[in-house]
Amino acid sequence: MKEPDKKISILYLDDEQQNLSAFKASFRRKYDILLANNAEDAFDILEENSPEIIIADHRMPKMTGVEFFEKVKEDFPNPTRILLTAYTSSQTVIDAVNKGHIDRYLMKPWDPILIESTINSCYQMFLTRVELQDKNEELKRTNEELNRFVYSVSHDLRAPLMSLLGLIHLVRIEEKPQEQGQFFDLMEKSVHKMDNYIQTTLEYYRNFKSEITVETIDVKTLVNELTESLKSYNDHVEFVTEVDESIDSVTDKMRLKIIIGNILSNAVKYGRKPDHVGDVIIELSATKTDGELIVKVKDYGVGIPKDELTKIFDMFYRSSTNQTSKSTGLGLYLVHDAVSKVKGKIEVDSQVDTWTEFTVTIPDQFTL
Amino acid sequence: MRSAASYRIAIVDSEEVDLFIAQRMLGLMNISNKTTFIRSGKGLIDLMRDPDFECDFIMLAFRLSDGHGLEILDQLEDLQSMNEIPQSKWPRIIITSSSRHVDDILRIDSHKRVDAFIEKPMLPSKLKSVFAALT
Repeated sequence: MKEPDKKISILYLDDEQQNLSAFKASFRRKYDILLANNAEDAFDILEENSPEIIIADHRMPKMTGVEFFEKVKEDFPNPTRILLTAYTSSQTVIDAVNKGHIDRYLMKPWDPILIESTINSCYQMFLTRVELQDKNEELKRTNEELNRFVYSVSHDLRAPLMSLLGLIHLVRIEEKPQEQGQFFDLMEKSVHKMDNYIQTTLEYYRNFKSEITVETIDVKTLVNELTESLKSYNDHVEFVTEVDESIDSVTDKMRLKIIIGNILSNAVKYGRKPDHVGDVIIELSATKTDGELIVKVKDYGVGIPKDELTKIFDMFYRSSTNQTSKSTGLGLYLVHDAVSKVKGKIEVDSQVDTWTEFTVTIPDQFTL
Repeated sequence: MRSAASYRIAIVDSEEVDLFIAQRMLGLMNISNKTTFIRSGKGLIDLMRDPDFECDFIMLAFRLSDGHGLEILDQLEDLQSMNEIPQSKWPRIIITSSSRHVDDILRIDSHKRVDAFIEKPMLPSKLKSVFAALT
């Protein structure tokens, strides 16, 4: 988008040098003018710069303005195209307008006032075009994500249910009644797994849909709530928390919960090395500097390979070190999305088989 | 042909519960008392390259924590063509999956190395008919 002090950039193509000079002299104060006296040079300029508007003379020796615009449209669809012509009723010009190769045409000799108003309306047209394109891309992305999501749900949501069903059939043919305790444990695990999947899916949708609601949040209380809830599900986990007294964060509470909660629950899942005995230690620190909340979570578990550090925030990405398939592949994607919704930053560093540390920075938001 | 209960079966699944179900069901139905648990695709590849390892059937999950079962199968095939897995050692392959996605089913069905497909949940009746057909 246009910065306030940036001039509108215009490429003007004309084979007559004096027209180019005259144009530049008249408009260089108002606009950023790029000049070319043949189509080849014009394409070079298009490659290097990104003008918002292109003006071309129609009658040129090698290539007409209409032909030039037809080619431009293929590779550079965004700039608005203005044809400069001396004829009033050329059929080629009318056709070009109708086919959409040119957006406007101006008569020669030009009237400076008309040129200015045309440039302004063409610039608006350019902005609309770019905006539409962004919206389209966003839609496409959302659509692709939805497809992947539906596919994954059909697998991940069904899998624990199918395990349960398998167990039920197994109980029916089991000969030793003493084995039954084990069946119930496994059934319970499948139910938890499915519940976890549903919870994450719900979080995903809440995060996806709703707008931000800013409030003042007491960080210590929030961290305590999250660690207590995780402890109730997981034995043998110890949280070492260092939260500065009475710091608060002015942001969206639901997002903050998603962010810290998912990072903590990952630390619980992956904080244990295979040979580890005793409690899993997870460190959390929270500080506040210059209106930014900084939360660090560190575990001493399996770690993440360096080449995977950039991929872990992708949807449905499961790390190669994660052999247990406890992951829905959604958690960190959600975290990443929530962080960007509250305009924060997230960084991760790790050493395989040694430690993993997530650092989240969340700025205070100000309501009007 | 071996007597039924002595089939050696490698169960490849990243789900602990599903490994357990398959093993117990195969045992109770007198199909196999010799099952090996493998929890990842990489684990299966490592085991197949081990000259001392042999099995009659592989029950391979369609989705594993480290990839797709069919892709693991392709990798095994490549290894076999490079003679890293002896021809004589190639077992019968049974794919297991909870997916009902048409694309998935078609992929499984059209893979030339797949001998049978069991849609989860694992049921005694399904195991019975698949093993009856394959032996």
